[in-house]
Amino acid sequence: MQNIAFSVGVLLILTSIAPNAQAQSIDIPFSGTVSNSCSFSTPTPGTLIQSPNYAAIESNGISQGKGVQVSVNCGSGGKLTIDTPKAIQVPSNFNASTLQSIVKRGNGSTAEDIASASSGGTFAAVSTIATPTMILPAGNSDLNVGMIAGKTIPGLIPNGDYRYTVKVTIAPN
Amino acid sequence: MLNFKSLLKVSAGLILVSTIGVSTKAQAQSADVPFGGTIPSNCVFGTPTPGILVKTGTFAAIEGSTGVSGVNFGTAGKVSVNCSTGATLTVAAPTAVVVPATFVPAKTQSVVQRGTNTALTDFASANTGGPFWPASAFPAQGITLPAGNSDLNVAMVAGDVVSGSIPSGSYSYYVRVTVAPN
Repeated sequence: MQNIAFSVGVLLILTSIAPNAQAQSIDIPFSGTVSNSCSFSTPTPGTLIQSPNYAAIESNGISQGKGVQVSVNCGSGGKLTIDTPKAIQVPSNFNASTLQSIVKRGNGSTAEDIASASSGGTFAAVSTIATPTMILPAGNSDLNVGMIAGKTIPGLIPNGDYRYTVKVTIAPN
Repeated sequence: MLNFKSLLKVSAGLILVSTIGVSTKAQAQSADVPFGGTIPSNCVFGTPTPGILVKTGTFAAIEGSTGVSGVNFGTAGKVSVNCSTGATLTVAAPTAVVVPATFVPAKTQSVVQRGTNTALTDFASANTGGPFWPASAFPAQGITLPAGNSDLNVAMVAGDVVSGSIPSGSYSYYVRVTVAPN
């Protein structure tokens, strides 16, 4: 009996000495850099051809929905605005009463992915969308830019050299 | 701590035991036998993998969450924890280390997911300024961890649930995860 009492005493001592397990903490680090600027890739100049539909000069492929490719990268997205085509050099007897530019994001599969600026009407074969702005998401966007200038009726345009620019502006969010 | 006196007591105790065993008429005696030692914590963390923060799409917030079910901007941090018994895990809201001076988030939230388990009880969360993510997905609570290894995915967000920009610059936060063994 005394042996048992002694053993019990030892067990109690053990229990009282053992400390409670400690809570453990760890800090998980997070870091990142936010850049609100946008950067363009260098565009390859587009080629202008006689429009197959109109008395107009147009960028090659625009009737097939193609254009000059340029990519843009915005750290936090942005708002794109496209201007109407600006003539740099055209034959003196070329009368462009209607001007239209268009930009598509990717395939431009939805209206939100198309912006177009025009003056003097629009070319139906290109786009009837008249909104010159588009919201860009954060990250990379591949853009296709096209243009057309002339008259919205069938016909030929004068021989000669034609040069235009289309300005695309992006305001970062 | 066994000093000379204690050693004597132990010896006495041992002698007593053997003596008592053969002499039933001896007086009852007792001896306190001291024991000491450090018991290690029952949970051990692995080395954490840092998370990566990016802007939360169109929202005015910064976030590192891909890796936790249901959220997907930036990258969640990871850490494993091994507990010899079950344990209770809690998480604190994110703590800013370095952010642009003009960045004052209306809300901050952290979420811990146990592995890829998707029961509500496998998520722990804490926030300031109210939940950024739906409280129905990540209730503010802890997780009961089973014994053994648990892989933890840790997400965080800071900002507001409105469209807008956040200041350019470097952002650095940490999320503290605590486990208390049962």
